[in-house]
Formats: sequence, C-alpha cells, structure tokens
Amino acid sequence: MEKTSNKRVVILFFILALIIILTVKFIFYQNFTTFVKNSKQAIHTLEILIKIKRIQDMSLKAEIGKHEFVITGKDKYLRAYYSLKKNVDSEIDELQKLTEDNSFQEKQIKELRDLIDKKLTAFEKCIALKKSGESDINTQISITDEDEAISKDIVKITADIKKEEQDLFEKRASMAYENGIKAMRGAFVGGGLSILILIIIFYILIREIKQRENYAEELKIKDKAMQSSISGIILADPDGKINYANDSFLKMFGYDDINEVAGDNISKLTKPEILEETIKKGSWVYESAAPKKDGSLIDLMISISAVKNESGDVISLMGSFSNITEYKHIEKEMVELNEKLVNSYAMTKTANKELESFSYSVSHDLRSPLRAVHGFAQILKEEYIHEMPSEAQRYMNLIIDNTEQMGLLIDDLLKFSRLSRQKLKKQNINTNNMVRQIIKDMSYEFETGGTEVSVGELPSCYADEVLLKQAWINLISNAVKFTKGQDNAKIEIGSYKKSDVDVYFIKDNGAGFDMKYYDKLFGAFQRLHLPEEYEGTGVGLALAQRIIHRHGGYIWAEGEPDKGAIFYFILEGGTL
Amino acid sequence: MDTEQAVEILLIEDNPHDVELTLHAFNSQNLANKVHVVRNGEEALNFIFGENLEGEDPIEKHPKLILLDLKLPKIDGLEVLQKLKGDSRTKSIPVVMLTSSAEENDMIESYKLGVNSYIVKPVDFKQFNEAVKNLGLYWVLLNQFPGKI
Repeated sequence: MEKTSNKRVVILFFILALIIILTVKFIFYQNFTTFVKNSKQAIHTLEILIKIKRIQDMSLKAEIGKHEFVITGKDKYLRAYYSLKKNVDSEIDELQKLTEDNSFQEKQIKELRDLIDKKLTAFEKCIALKKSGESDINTQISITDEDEAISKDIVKITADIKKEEQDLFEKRASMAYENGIKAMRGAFVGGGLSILILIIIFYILIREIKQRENYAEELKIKDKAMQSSISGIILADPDGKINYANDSFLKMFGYDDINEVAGDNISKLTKPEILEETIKKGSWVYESAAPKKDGSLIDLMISISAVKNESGDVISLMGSFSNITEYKHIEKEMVELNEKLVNSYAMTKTANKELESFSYSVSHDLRSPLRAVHGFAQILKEEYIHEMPSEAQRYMNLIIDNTEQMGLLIDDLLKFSRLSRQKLKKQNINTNNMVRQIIKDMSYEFETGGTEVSVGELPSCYADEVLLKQAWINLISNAVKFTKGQDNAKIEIGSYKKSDVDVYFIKDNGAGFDMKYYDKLFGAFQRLHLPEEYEGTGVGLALAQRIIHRHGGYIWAEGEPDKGAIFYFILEGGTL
Repeated sequence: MDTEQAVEILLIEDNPHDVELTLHAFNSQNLANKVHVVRNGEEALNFIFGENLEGEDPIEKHPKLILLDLKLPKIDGLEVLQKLKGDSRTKSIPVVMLTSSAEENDMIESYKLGVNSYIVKPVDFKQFNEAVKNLGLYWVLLNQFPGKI
C-alpha cells in the first residue's frame, strides 16, 4: 500500500515538475521569440534609419550638386542628382519593404516617395531651366521656393519616419527589457519550484529506498531463517517443481547440492493426491516415509502449505519436513512398554486374584476340620475330663487353646484376604460418632482393663465406613490390650492439623514398643510380644495399615518400651 | 398333624463331623430326636418332595426348620434353596443357612432367593454350640407357625 501511494506521489510530482518546466520553457521561449522579434525589429529600425540617412544624404548631395550646377553650370555636379534619380526608387522600395508591417510608416514612406518624386521633378525643372539658359529670376526663385518647400516636407517626413522608428524602437526596447525581466523572474520561479520538486522527489525516493532496504533486510533475515531452520524446507512452484531447498533439507535427504533437487517434482517425496488436496484446502500435515538420495526411507512429519497472493492464487508451495525417526523410535518403545505394562498389570491382577482365591479357599477349607478338632476336643473335655489324669487334662487344654488360636489366625487371614478384594465404598464419615460408638461397644474391655479414655475433636473424613471402623477398632483394641491391668492406664484419641491435612492419633501409656523393631510393627502376623504376655495374632496393625493404604493414606508410630505408644495416621484428601 | 415321627428340623449337611457336632448341640436342648439328616441336596429334595418334585400335589414332609449348608455335593445349597423358596408348597418353611462361608456374595444370593437367616459356622465349638442351641430355641420353640402349613 505504502509503495503504490509513493509511486503515485512520485509520478504526480514528476508530472508537476514537467509541467512547470515546460511552462517556464514556454514562457521563456515566448519571451525569447519576442526578444528575437524585437531584436530583428531593432535591426530593422537601424536599417530604416540608415536607409533614411542614405536617402537624405543622397538628396542632400543631389541638392548640393544641383546648387553647384546652377552656380557653375558644370555637368559633373549633376552626378549626385543622376545617382539619386537612379537609386532612390529602389532605396525607397527597400525602405518600404522594411516597414511593411507598419501601416503608419507605409503611409509616411509613400508620402516620402511622392515628395522625393516631386523633388526630382523640381530638380529636373531646375536643371532644364539652367540648361535652357533661362535666367528669369522669378522663375528661379519660384523653383527654388518650391524646392525649398519640398525639402522642408522631406525633412519633416524623414524626421517623422525617424521619430516613428525611434519611438517604436524605444517601445520595443522597453518591452524587451520587460520581457527580459519577466523571463528572468519566470526562470527563477520555475527554477525554484523545480528545485523544490526535485527535493521532494529526492526525499520520497530516499524514503522509498530506505523502505526497500528495510524490506530487503527483513527478507534477508527471513531467508536466513529459512535457510538455517532445523526443519527441511523446500519451495516449489504450483506444479510442484522444486526451486529452493534449505541446508537442513539437503542434509536430511543426503543431497550435497541444491542442483540435485532443483527441478525435481515435490511429488517424488509426497503423493500427488496430497498436492491437489493442499492446493484445495490450503495445507496438509501428515506422517510419511520418503526416500533419501540413496533410496533409504526416512520417517518424516510433512507439512505442505499453499502460498497464496492477495487475489487468492497459489503462487508457491512450501514443504516443511521434520525428521521423526527418533520420535518413531520412542513411539515404538512406548507402545512396547505400554504393552508390557498392560501385560504385567494383567498378570499381576491375575496373580492377585489367584492369590486371593487361594488364601480364601485355604482359610475357608481349613475352618471345617478345625471346627471338628475344636468341637470334639471340647466335647471330650466336657464328658471325660474328670476321668483324665492331670497331665492329660493339661494336654487337652493345650489342644483346645491352640485350636482356638488357629481359629483366630484363620479368621484374621480371611479378613486380610477379603480386604484386598473388596471395593472401597467411600462416604463422608463422622469420625467423632464412629469412634465414640466403638468405645461404647468396648466399654466392657475398658472397665475390666481399668483404662481411662479421652476422645478429642475428630474431624470428619471420606472413607469406607466398614473398613475404617475396622481400622479404628484394631488400633483402639491394641491400645486397650497393651494398657490392660496397668495403673493409671490412659488412652488419648485425637487429631491435629499439619500442612492442611488432618492427622488422627491414638496414644496410650501402656507397654509400648522398641523403635528398634519398627519395621516389624506393621508386618502381618509379626508380633513383638510373647503370647503369654499379650494375646493376638499379629495381624491387627497389618490390617489397619492395609486399610489406611487402600484409602491412599499413611500410618506411622512412635513408641518406647513400658512408656507407651502413639499411632498416627492420615487418610487421602484430609477433610472435605 | 404332629406324629411322633414328624420331623421338626431337617439338617442338610455333608460333613459328618459337623453333623455330629450339630446333633450334639441339639442334644443339649433335647431336640436331637426331632432332627433328620440328609447328606446332599438331592437327598434333601427327595425327602421333602418325594415323587412330587414338580407339580401341585401335596407333599408329605413339613419340617419346622431346614438347616442348609451351601457347599453340598450333587445339588448345592443355593439350588436347594431356590427350589424350596420357589415352590409354593415349601415356600413358607423357614430355611436357615448354616455354612462356613462368610462371603458377601453367598450371603447376597441367599437372601435374594429368600433365605430366612444366614449363620456362619464359628470355628470355636463353644460359639457353635451356642449358635445351634439358639437356632433350635428360636425357630422351633419360640417362633410361631400356623397349625397347618
């Protein structure tokens, strides 16, 4: 846009300059022609004056000659008269020609001619008279008087003619002067304007040039950018003939020189249908493999776009090639990894399922015979214990105790296995209510154990009700169990907030544990005490941990032998 | 309708030890003589329906309580339950599932089919004893039946 307006302005100014110059030239020319005309006329005037002078001289000479003739009667004094008579006509003719353009002068000159003729006639009369020897003074006087009158007239006429010419000359001279001034002024103005216009044009041109330079700079940068782009870039004409390729392209495809590809058709690297589509839609992006110089294929991300001009015509095609061999590699690896992952996940899932069904059926199938053992042992004891020696009785009791223990273990194992299979049914839990209910349900244990319990404010949480209750029961039971029979047994249940997360804790001042064995604490079926010290299967904490982990939470503990223990846990998401 | 041979409790259980223990428990309630034992589902259905497994003909046996185990050879517990609760002639007989399985699914299925009660056999004999005794007491002695089923 800028450029066309500049062009217009420049043209306009040029035309203006031209007009001005032509005008000036014209004016100048006019004035000059006038000047020439005036000069010519000046010369005319000069010639006329000279002619007049000559005629005058001739007349005078003739006059003088006549006088001398009259006095002397010698013929030689008539030479001037003869010459006058001979030449005057032609002189006057010439004079007439010189004043052709001036009607006033013409008239005057005609009169002069007449007068001169009269004069000549008078001369002849005089001469004839002399020659005739007539000496009548009166005739002589009258002739002389006549002569005198004519001479006077001639003088007047010539004076008039001269004056006229001189007037004309002056007029023309002043006109010429004026013309000269005008011409000069015109020249100055015209010159000034021309200079101004030249300056303006110069300025415009300089700006044009600067713009072009900037544009060229920009183009150079763009060109360099294209050249140095990591993507391979080619330009082709709308038919697909390649006319430019940057270094990356050449390197990518293994060419050494652009001439190796210039002129080749882009459809060698892409499909011809794609070119059609590109021109229709404007651009096309796709993945493909294209042949390098040596014939090997390279994996590429190809994007072709149609470059259009303002009127929407396709003026060029641009192709951008990115080497995606690496990506393809990575993609393949990822796909493989993903497959492996899916596989191993499936395998794990299957293994888990198998494990679970195994542990389920094991514990389930173990229960029946165990029930029988326990049952019959119990019946045996009931019906025959008094018939048994004390040692046998002891053995009997041991059998029964152990089967009971085994029953508990199996139950716990079953619980454990069921836990992993069950789906979490999360809901908002009022922790306060849940814990207080548990304690109420366990009031018997609390009383018999003589344990005091205090429950602080427990924020609600989002969890599976059954499982969470189980976890709480396990932890609280533990606290009760390990403070049983102790003086001043105290259990404290509460919570605090850390970094916006609710931490629940159960604190007791009971048997505690040695931090040395911390990693055994949550191990399934791991016990840190002897059965005769505290009963249990060692699965309570493992179960609680499992439950908390399934909620995305975390459980940990601190303890000191005989000083007590604190168990902390958080659930995922803290409070809602 | 009450003959001295009338069966009050039908126990469907394949495990002989469990049978013995259960009978022992009933014994302490003096209910043992009223218990008839069958060892699998097929026997159970035969016992109740006799020849008239399908159809509308009246059946002879009307136990007051049926104790059913899930895991039975031949025809399993759920099938028996389905038949009992699906047949109008036996629908109203109380069926108590007495089984080792504490599986949620088994429980759900049983209740879906209309079981009256679901008891998990405890390992502990004392508890087992208690459970059986309570069962007997409740269903046979406490629970009311109409004169004729």
